[in-house]
Amino acid sequence: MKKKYVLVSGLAFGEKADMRKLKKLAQQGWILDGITSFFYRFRKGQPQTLDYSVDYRSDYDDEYFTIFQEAGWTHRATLGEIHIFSAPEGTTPLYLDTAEQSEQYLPMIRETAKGSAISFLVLVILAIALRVGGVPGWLSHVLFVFLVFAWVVFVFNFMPCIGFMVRRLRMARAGQ
Amino acid sequence: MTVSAIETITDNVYYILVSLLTDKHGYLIMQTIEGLTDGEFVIGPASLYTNLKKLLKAGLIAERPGEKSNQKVYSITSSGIEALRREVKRKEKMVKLARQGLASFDGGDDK
Repeated sequence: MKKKYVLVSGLAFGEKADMRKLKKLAQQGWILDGITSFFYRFRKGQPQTLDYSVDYRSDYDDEYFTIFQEAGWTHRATLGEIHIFSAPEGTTPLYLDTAEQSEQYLPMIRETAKGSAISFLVLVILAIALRVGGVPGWLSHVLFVFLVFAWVVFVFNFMPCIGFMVRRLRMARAGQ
Repeated sequence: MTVSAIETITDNVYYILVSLLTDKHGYLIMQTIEGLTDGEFVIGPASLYTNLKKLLKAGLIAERPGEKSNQKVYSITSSGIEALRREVKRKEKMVKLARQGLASFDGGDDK
């Protein structure tokens, strides 16, 4: 079966743009089939007009997918707390209440904030260890690799955290 | 104690409780609310799921397995009915206030 992979542009900042991209690909017959940290996966199918929507949720059961399916939303992909659904154009949206919708970002904010704090702590400890010196040459190379790794983890947690926080505030304000 | 877990009865919660005065499964709740309000009030599936979980936790509704697998049937509990009654009283007071105010505003020619 024909497959296609497209880069995820980051749901924290580019959720709307990404959903538009998924819609465009569905019109060309590429239907979302899965998601990893960096790629959307598509399989070739019939060209169709689909709306895509994301729901963030860590606590759910089978009933979750049943209700969505009955309401017209087909489950397409899940990555951790991120669930992507599609539905024919004009289907009742996942949320109509923006204040309530803003609540869904709370677990994402909590998770990324935790990741940011831990990686930042590791970053500081490694930086101090390398600064203070007294570390044998080979070990400092290893520590440096860890430092770069911690930096990457930090960026990939801190940026989404800010993104989700901004989105939540904006939505909560719009809902008032 | 359990009732206090739901601080405010939002419109979503209000309509879910009203629709559950007779037992229903998830999607039927959505359809019923739309029907009861002539399509003026619509609840999305994500809101519905979130609120069902909240109401279950607060003990205002109960669930049992439905006919189809993966489908649950929900019903309002006695504390749910109590909460709904309180909310109706609150809303009646609100409406009464506005009605009286509007009546004097219109020069007493209300009704």
